Amino acid sequence: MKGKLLIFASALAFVFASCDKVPQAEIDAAFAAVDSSKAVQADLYLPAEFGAVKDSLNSAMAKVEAQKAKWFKKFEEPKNQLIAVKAAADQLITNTAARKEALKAEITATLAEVKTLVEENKALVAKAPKGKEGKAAIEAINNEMGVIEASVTEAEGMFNGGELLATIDKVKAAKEKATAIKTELEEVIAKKAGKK
Amino acid sequence: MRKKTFYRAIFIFSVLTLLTGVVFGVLILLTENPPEKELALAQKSISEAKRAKAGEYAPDLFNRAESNYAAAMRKMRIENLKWIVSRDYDGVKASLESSINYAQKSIAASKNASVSVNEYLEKTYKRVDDRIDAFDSLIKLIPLPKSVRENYNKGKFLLSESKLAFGQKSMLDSKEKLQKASVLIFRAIDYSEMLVKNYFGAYPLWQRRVQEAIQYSRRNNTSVIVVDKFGQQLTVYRNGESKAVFQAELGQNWIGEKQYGGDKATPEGTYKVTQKLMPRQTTYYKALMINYPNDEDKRRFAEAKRKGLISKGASIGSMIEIHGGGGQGVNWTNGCVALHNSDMDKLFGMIDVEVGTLVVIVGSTKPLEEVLQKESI
Repeated sequence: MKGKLLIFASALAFVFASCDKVPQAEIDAAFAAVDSSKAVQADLYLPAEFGAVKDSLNSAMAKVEAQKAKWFKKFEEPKNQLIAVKAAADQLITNTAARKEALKAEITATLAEVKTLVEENKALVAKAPKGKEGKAAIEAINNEMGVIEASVTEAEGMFNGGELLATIDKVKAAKEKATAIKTELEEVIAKKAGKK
Repeated sequence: MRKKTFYRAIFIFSVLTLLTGVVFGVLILLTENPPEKELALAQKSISEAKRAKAGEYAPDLFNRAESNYAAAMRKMRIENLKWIVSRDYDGVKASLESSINYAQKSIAASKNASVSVNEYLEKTYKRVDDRIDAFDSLIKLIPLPKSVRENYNKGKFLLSESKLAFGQKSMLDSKEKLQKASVLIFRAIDYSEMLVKNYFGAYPLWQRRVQEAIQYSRRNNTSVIVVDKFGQQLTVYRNGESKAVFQAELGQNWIGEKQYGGDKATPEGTYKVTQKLMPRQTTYYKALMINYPNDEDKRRFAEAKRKGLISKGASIGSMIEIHGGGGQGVNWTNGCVALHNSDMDKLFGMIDVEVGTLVVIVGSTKPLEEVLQKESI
């Protein structure tokens, strides 16, 4: 009789033991990967992708909690989702590094372009007509060039400080301004040449 | 006997199994289901809110959505630690419903805010661009304190940055930069407008002086020289008629009357040529020395000194000439009027331009409205 009760108890224990275990290792790994991606500023450089990974992690964790609330727990789905989250977060780390490198290259190239434009503009200023309008324009252009050069210096400081996104906006604006000045000077010089 | 015992055991086992099943079934029925649908809906709503940039446009509502979701998850973890039958997910559901509610509100608020930010940006860009179009050439022309001109150009630079951000759909960044830009630009424009308007307060006096000089020229069949500072030109009138116009360069701080020596301002008033200087007699090719300071300059200087408007040690200055060396493209003199050397030759070759010739220097020969209209074209 005792033996049979033991069999029954074992059967019941099996029923409960058959419940899945919380995928703690996958949870820890997914959280660690997301934290690492944030540490490399994926949230700044790839915000949409980082948001998607974070949403997926939240969804997986909600599913884990939902399963915990059940008699018969099945963690397979959230477990797979957590594995996917970890893989995506790892990929995000690689992609963030690539994005930063691409930004650095773009900034370096644009800064060089701006510096070249400033030098070209200085050479054009010397050729610009010096009538009343030309005189006024030259004074204003020299001042604007001063602002561009100051913004280049500021951008270089930001670049060295690792503020790549703010730097790229600044150097793009500087390039746009320097290009506009160049066009203005070229037009004025061409107009003068046409008058001769 | 053995068989009987066996059947009894089977019976007991069956009854126990049945009872366990019933108890188990009752427990399952009594167990509350976790709010899975609400959880999924809350997540979906928050994700949508994030995509709608509710975190930027409606941060209060969005933060409430997120904090309610976090509270729901916390409550759920606490409930899950309890014995399964005594779990109660009502609190979890309430937090999730609040989260969904706030997330949806934040989406609507974000859409409204994004439309209004967009409208604000478009309107403000137009307003700032219109003012720049109207005043840019004026600002380029007049001598402004370095800081004002720098701030104006910084403002224009920030405006470019703002437009770049607008192009990248970073509306809030764009708005922040535009606000800073418009403050810098409008301050510089307002300052310039005020400076010019105040300056043109003397226009009736300038007009009278010029008319008197032209009449003098007509009456005496002689030449007079009129220097228009705003127009940056020197005109020679003979017998009341304009005979020659030359581009002129002035003192660096040419707006306003000369206050004292070294202020780099070109004086305003009615003067006479006192000397005609040939090369080697002057630093800048040829020159017509004028009688600055005249009696009116001396009176004004003394009054300014008495009122403490200029330092006690200041001198009135002298040696104001119309000289060569012009064509440098900037207003560079210390207060003199500079012409191109070839124009000085023409001026020297003109009949009646000699010692005693009247020289009238005024802020402008045209009214402010005309000047502004011209500068804004």
